Amino acid sequence: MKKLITVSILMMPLSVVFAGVVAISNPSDSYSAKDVTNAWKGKTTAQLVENASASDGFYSDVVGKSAESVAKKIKRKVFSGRMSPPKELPSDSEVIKYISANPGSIGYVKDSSVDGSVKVIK
Amino acid sequence: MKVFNKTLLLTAITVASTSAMAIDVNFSGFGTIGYSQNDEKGSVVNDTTNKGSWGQTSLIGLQADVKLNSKFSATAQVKLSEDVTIDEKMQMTLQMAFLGYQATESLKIRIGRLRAPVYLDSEYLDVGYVKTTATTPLAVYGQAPFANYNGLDMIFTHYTATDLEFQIQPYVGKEQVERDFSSIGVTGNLDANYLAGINTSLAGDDWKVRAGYTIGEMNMPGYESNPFQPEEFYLNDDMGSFLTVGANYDNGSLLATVEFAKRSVEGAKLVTDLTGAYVTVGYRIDSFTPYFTYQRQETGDKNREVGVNSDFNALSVGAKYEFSKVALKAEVTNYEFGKNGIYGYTNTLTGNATTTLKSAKVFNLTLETMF
Repeated sequence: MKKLITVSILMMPLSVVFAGVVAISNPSDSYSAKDVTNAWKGKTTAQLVENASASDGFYSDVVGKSAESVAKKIKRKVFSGRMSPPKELPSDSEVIKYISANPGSIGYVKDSSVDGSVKVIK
Repeated sequence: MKVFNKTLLLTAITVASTSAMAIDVNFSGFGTIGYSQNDEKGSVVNDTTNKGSWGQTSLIGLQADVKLNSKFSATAQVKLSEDVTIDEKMQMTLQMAFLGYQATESLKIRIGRLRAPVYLDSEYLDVGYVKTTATTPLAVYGQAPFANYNGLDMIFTHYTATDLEFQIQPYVGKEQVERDFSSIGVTGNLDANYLAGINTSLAGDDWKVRAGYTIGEMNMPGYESNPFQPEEFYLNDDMGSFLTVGANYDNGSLLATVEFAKRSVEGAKLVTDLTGAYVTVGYRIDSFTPYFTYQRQETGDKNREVGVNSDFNALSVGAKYEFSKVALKAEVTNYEFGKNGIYGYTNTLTGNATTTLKSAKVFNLTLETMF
């Protein structure tokens, strides 16, 4: 049984769900897991939403790069006028509130905070 | 065009402040405090003097991004830095002010004041914090007469099956900048009556290659006030062309950049035709990145014929140290100049005082941040 659990954890989509942090979008959008990692490389037209209360887990486990190196890549695009700056919010509830009201945005929250107003990206 | 920019900015601000809808406005910025000094008494090398200056590289930039709806956005960026023609006087300049329209997932159209996308780093040239080196190599970055223009561009983006980002960006516009040509006896503006160009790039996670080509009709109205110099020496509605190719690589520890640029102008014998290139290699160890840059520039035959020579090569050695959103960089560059012509140097590298200069060392110290 223990082995089975290990195997199933390994088979989970690690890029999106890990350490209890999930990527979310507006229910009307259909982003993929790949869209999420690409978005934080600056390859997106979506509005990024940063979450100060969940960023540690998100950067180390979903994006796979340090917050600092991601910020540099994104700021290069922002200061070039090529990308909208990420919206910076302090908590899960604010992120969920923003994303449920704004189609075309991607954010991340602790999975325990998710409610029906947003869609978990898988 | 200036009036147009102001109207655009005003419209964006008005829309943002009066609309009943919740419109996102985001403010961000960047800044550099820089000190530079050279070791040759009485000389000017890349705007540095032997007395040392805080003015040449210090700057503050502020940007406002307004999201009007899912398709339209407006961006404005201003920069406070040293005046081009008056030392130690600060000047506020508008770097960007445009309306952006995301027509489709793969096409964005922008109209207004834009950065000229002619180099690898040209669109965030002032944001020292995101770059490795303390200074940008003059042999390439000193060639483009403009960093901005008023006009429009279209950015086509395509992602390949392997997630490479391919972009094509055509642009057209015009520009007028105040320049200090005192070294060749001219003051006043440098104009591009019109310019048109294309920028293409292909990028993976750790690398990017780009190439660009721009043409423009160039004019230097100031020469008219100098009756002692024949017209053929200056820009007088002459066609210029500018070709650039570059590539960079950064895997988190090893970083390398190479870039090549070639500019030429028909006629205008005192305005240099230049060919330049540089290579930068650095190695990141935690927050410490030592690096070196080698650069080389050569002057065209048409200029040599009238005694103008802007040849030089330079080796820079420097290091970047990062701590809590601040980067500290120190760099020393040793310039070796080519044989001097009778007019001395006519590019931005040196002024009149350097006609007998064979070599010089320049020291740069910068403290940079972004927010």
